[in-house]
Amino acid sequence: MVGFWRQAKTIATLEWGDGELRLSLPTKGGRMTATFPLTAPPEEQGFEVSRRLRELAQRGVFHAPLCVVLPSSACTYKLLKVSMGNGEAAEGAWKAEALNQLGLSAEEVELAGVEQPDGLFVVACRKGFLHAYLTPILQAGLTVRWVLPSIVGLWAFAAEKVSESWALIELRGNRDGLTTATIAMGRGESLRLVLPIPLNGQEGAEKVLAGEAQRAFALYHRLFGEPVQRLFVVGDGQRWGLSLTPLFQLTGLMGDELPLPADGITVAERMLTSIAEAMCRHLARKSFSLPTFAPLQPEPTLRWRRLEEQLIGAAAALIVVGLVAAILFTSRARHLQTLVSQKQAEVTQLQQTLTQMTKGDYTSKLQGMEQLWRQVNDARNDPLEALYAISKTFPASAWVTEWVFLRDGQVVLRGSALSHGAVADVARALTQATVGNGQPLFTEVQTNFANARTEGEKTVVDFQITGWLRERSVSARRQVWRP
Amino acid sequence: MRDGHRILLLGLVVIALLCWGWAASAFWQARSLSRQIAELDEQRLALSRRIAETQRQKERYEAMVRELGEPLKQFNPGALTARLMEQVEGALTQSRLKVETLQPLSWQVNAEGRWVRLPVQVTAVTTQPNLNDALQGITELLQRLRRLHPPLVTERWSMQVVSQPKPAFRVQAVLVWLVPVDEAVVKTLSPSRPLRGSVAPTLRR
Repeated sequence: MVGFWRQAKTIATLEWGDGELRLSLPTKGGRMTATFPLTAPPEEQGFEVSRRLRELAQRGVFHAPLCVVLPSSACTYKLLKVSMGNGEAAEGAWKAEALNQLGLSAEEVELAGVEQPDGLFVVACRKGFLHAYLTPILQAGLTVRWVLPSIVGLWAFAAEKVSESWALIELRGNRDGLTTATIAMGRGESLRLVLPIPLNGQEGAEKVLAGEAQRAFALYHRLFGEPVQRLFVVGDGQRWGLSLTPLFQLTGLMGDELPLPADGITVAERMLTSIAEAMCRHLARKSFSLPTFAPLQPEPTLRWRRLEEQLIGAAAALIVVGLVAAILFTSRARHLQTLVSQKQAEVTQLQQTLTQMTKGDYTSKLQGMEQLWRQVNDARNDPLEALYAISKTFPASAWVTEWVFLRDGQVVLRGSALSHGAVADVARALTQATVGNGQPLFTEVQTNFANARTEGEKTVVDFQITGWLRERSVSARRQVWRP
Repeated sequence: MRDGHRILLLGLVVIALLCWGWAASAFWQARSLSRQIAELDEQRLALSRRIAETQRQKERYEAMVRELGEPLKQFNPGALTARLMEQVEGALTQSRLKVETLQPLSWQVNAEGRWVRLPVQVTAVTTQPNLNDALQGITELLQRLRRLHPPLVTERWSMQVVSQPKPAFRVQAVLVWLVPVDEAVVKTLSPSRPLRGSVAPTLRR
């Protein structure tokens, strides 16, 4: 038995066989069911199932936990008068007892068991069948959470409805007819006896089924000391022309068709939905009490092959991307190389031009020439400019008798005036004299002396005024020219 | 089959590594070339600027040469001084000034500015009938001196009114001829005679 600690509100159920793949899946609004006919020959139907499930998985259909439903006829059922117990030793003990009573070896079968009030109910299934049944599902990349026989799921679905001893007959068939029936018997929720009845589409299945059912009910009565009081039948009997009324009359029991949920088009789909509901109900309980097989794990070789395939794909993609990138970068590098050559040639040519031009050493030559030019064209170095500027501003009440223009920018004017005021006018006029673009001619004007002198009846004032065309130095202040 | 898959996977991985190695190599090559192009562009820009600047300096220099005269490739101070005295005397005569003294002074070399300074001291008296005309003559003299080529700079100028024998101006001046010379000339002149040349004889009239 598998312990379940996680409760799943919605469960997906899946079964395949008898030429069909059936699904019952939870959706937002309820459930969705589907039946896919398997057209491949029976030995290749596993590949078809795998391909179909892979397609569905790629669409994102399988998002709920998956329960795989086995055909009831593929399993063997036994009620053991032992306790399940806890721990590996106890598990080994009941498995050994089950294998002993079934007469099978541990290498051949897989066991599932569940504790019942009457003992331990054990379900056995051949490992070969389980592997063949589950491998297509695992190859599709699906994760299987639960594996249980169909009759167990249906029993769990119907068990709440009755409390006395009762029986459930599950009918299964294919396109050709009714192939098998499985009778499950027990009391309330306790499942005690399950018997498969092979029919193989033979005529008069009602009578065969009724006869086998009577024998099974008698066996149940003998084993458990109480008769079967109610009978439920589940399965699409009408599809195979099976009338249930004669069956109920022959068995002499109060019989009825098992009411199934409405989700599903065919009876088989609705049976899947009912198993999903029963699973949900059991998961909601504190202890899970259904015999389920441990799901197969994907084979390591299969995983490795998947990984290899993915790695091959990734390597191929890397090659393509790397190749494209390499070609692009190479062509870009070639283009850039051409540009570099062109630009190097341009730079070399420019360097040659510059070398030729700098041979003339125009920088130092120009510095000398500009120095010379400034000296030649400085208006303050030109006595004509100074003479013109002074003449323009000189007042009529004074006259110059001597004019000296010195190299250091000193200009000395000596002359006479009619009055001291006239001398002041001369000094003021020289201060305001401008040259060239309106710049003051003198930076400083200084009156050296203004002495009154009487000559005959006239009095004149002799004066000497010094002006500096440039900022004078301290030593230059003393260099007043005197005749 | 599984071995075949593994061999295929191994082969593909090797090819992928080669491809990516090639791509990485090409990428780094392209990146280094891009950087090289950027550096070359900067070099080209800098060279273009320097060429433009040099061209501008050349044009400016040629304009200066047109204005100030071609630098002399050979320096002959005696001939230059004689030519200066001749020109100055000619200007004085044209302006009706009587030359009293015309004395060349020692010449000097300005190594930094690449020119030679040839000074001449002159003393002259105006010959015009009155002071107004004399002043006009002096003005004309200064204008003539300014038009001389290579340029003549007046470093010292003194005018004094004299009354004997008639009212006139006595002019004393130091006129300097600034003659641009070639660098080779500067180099030949500088070691042996750094700045000053020999004093030329005084010419008195």
